[in-house]
Amino acid sequence: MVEAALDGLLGILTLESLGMMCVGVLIGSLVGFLPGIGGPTTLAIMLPFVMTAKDPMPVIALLVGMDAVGNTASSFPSILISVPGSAGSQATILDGFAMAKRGEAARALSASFTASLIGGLIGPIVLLLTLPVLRPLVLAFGSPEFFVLTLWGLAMVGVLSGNAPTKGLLAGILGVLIATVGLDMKSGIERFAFGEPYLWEGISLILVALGLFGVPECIDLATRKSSIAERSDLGAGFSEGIKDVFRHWWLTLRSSAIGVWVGFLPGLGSSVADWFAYAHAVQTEKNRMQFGRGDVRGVIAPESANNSKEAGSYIPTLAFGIPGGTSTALILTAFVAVGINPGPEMLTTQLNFTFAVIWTLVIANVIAVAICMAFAKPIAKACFLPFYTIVPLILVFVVIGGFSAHFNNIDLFVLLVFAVLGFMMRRHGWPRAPLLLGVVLGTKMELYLWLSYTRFGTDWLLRPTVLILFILVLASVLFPIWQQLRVAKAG
Amino acid sequence: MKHITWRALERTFFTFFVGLVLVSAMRVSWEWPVRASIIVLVLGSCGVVLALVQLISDIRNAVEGNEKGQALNLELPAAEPLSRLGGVEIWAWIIGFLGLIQLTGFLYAIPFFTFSYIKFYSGGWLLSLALALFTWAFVFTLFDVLLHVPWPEPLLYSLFS
Amino acid sequence: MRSRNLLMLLAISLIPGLFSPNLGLSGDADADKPYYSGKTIKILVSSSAGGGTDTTARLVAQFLPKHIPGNPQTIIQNMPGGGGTIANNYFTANGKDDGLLIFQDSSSGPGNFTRGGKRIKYDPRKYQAIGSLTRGGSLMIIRKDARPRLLDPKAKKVVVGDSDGIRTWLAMAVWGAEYLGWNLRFVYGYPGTRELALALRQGEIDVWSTQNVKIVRELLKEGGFELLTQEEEERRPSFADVPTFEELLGAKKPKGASWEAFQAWTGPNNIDKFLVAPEPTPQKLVAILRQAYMRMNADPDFKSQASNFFGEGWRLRSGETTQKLIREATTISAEAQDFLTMIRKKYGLPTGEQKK
Repeated sequence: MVEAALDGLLGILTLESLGMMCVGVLIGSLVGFLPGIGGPTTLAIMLPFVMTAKDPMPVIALLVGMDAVGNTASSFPSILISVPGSAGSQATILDGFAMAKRGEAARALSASFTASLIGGLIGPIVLLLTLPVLRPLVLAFGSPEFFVLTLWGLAMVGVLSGNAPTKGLLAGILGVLIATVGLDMKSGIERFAFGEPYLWEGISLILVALGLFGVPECIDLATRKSSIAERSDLGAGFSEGIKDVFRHWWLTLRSSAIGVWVGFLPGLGSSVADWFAYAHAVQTEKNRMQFGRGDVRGVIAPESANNSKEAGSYIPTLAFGIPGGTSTALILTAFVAVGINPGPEMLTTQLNFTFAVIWTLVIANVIAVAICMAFAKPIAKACFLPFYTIVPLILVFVVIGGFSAHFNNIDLFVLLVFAVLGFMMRRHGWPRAPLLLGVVLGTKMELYLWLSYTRFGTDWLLRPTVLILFILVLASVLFPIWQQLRVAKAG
Repeated sequence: MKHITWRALERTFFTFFVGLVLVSAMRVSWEWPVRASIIVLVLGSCGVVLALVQLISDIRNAVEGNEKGQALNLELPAAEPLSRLGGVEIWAWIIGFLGLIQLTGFLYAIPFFTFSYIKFYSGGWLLSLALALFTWAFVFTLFDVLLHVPWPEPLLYSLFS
Repeated sequence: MRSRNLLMLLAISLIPGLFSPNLGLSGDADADKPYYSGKTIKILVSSSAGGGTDTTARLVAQFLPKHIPGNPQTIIQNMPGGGGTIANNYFTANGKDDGLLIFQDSSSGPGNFTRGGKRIKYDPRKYQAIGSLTRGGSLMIIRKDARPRLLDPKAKKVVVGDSDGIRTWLAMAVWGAEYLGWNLRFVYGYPGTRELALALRQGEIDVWSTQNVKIVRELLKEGGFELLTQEEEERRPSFADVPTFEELLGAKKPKGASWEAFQAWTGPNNIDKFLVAPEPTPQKLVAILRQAYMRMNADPDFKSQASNFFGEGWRLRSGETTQKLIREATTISAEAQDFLTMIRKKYGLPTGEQKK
């Protein structure tokens, strides 16, 4: 195993590979920075170049580098304009954006990047340590377990965000229903599509995220005619954020660990790792009242998790060839094209490639964080720009991000619908995050429910793993509710 | 009974609207085979119960004139506009922008919108021109040069060609 | 704003518009240049990114333009859903005569067409076939621990897993259940090949079939699996010890409507991953595309890439042959069609209608 590790490292450290890695990191950061224009678009551009490569190592460096850093740079839009830069950066918005409003954007950003760095380093370490037990672990989780996990993720977020858990859960349910729109693969039924072919593919997640979060934010800024930061002084700054992460080192470690473990569940992990970490922080940290109002721990927890999860998510990708999403699917195609075969070989004869992936994750992370740190302070100043500069820029990027969903004019209409919905939800205190998560998880949740039912009848409800998970779900849902009741009684 | 605010009424209606959506979804899905409807029915029924609970809570709050309690709140509340007109203004801009895109295509609408918005709110000439150029250049490079995106035909073009 | 400002505003904002391709200020091509020079061909793909159809499309996107005079660009548009229905409908509705939109489909497209239903708004026989890539017939894998239950009607049923219940290899399982007494039940809904492979490894399903030789070899190497049968006319040299399905049937092979229905279901698999141009495309463009396709066959880079993806046993077919195969695969008598619907219903597989 040691030779494979060394071989992988040397393969990555060649000039060509490092060069490709830097290119990948730059592109990945740019893409992460701009909400909406996501992984699939850029990978699609890259693919033609990649498929003609002869040597796998630079390809690994480029693609994995690009993929791995999206979560780091996507903190920028999450914190600055409360638009999730990627699926993994939603939880960061809650406290990150609140900090930006207080003028503490620089602190939030540096905390997020430092946490990302640590998470990105710990992830591969945990990955390495658990490599031998991975395959049996993945094999142990079947459709019933996955269903309960998706349920857990959604229920937890629904209850956590917002002071009315009913609204949170309802938002989550709406999200799942939105995910059902389209032509259902497993039954051939057209659902909620009103005969419109455009809707057959379902409603694009990008449009939901941008419409739900991006536009209401602009509306806010435009109606108040103020800048993002509501105070004109800088507040606590850049170095403070870095110190914060080390002050809360135990939280950082726990969140990173959670990220890897949640991340390795095929297909599921990427979207909920940051939520699990956030929820864990809220439930276990002392002095919770500041969460949601700009508590830096609310940035540290999700950001460490969403970088460490990258390492985790490569496990099912490499060991079974099951992509976590469109980006990983394209990466897999590219890997096969250059002779890397996902499967048991990745842990035996092609172990050096697995290590190359791991090394790339580590190194690319460091490079990405360095770049983001360099730009954090100047970009954070954007919070003080007048609204008439920010608003049109955000709207333009929202619109082109939305357009890149299907390159169809109808996309803009859908965007408008979700903008109105997002606006109304905010106005009446309905948390939007669970809705977004519902859309992300909805298809999977439904699939696992169906497969469990059709494969096992109702027996699956009694599987020991399922029962344990159900208890965990109930615990994490009821606990915050009980807490709120206590607070309400006391206050 | 205190004075019921418009806000409270709107809030209650929104909850009602959500409940209505859930019920309609369940109604429509009833016709489908189980494999298509199972998730809608399972989650929909939970949702309807929750919506009822929330509706009752909203009505009670409206009648008693309560605003939201101050327990754990993970989303900052929406800002109040400076004037009544404030809200309408930005919506007009947004809808205007989207409409312009339909009429003239992205490559026209984006710089025009950027420029007009900044100028309208008394930004400087340099700023508005620079940002208009920047946004146009960005869209052009990414979507036209790199991605060769097939732009949808703008309405004006198809009407007058 | 004063009118002067307004005029300046208008004038300035016109400038970027001049570059907009929609205003058509980019000049027209010279009459001497090849038709495809400077153009972009859009390849519509009926699957999502990463699967076999998508991979084929990407190979085509990479190599086809090299052999087309003018070397056009290519872009890929994935349009998954409904077993290819969405993409097929879109292609039929939007295909023009400019030769700039072509379609990479797989066997499910014609398969669905034969099955019928009110959502089928396309006819693959009308497409102009450019060529096809076929990977050889499906290999049916079964878990060793499920094998004993296969012929025992009293044992727990052996679970066959699939993505959409429409795949052509399912015909083998269905006819096996019907005429060989296989003790089967069918579960479908898995997102794709890799998930099915995982489910097979987990034991969530017991039987599965794929044309992807690589995955088959992986599973065989892992142990715990064996090959039940192969969907071929004669045994492949690399799998010489696996009986073909017809061999398995032996004397029990049905005749008449039943066999015709079987062939109609499995027929499209012969076509496998095929590339088509829209119906209105002029013959000279179709000819250019067909020629380019066959030239890919002689391209050593293409060959090595394809072998990377599909293992051994793939081959390209010409546009003319593909056209013929499509016609064959979609021709079915009413009697056989009824049989098909009946037997699908019997085993809980989707038919064209949407009843409960």
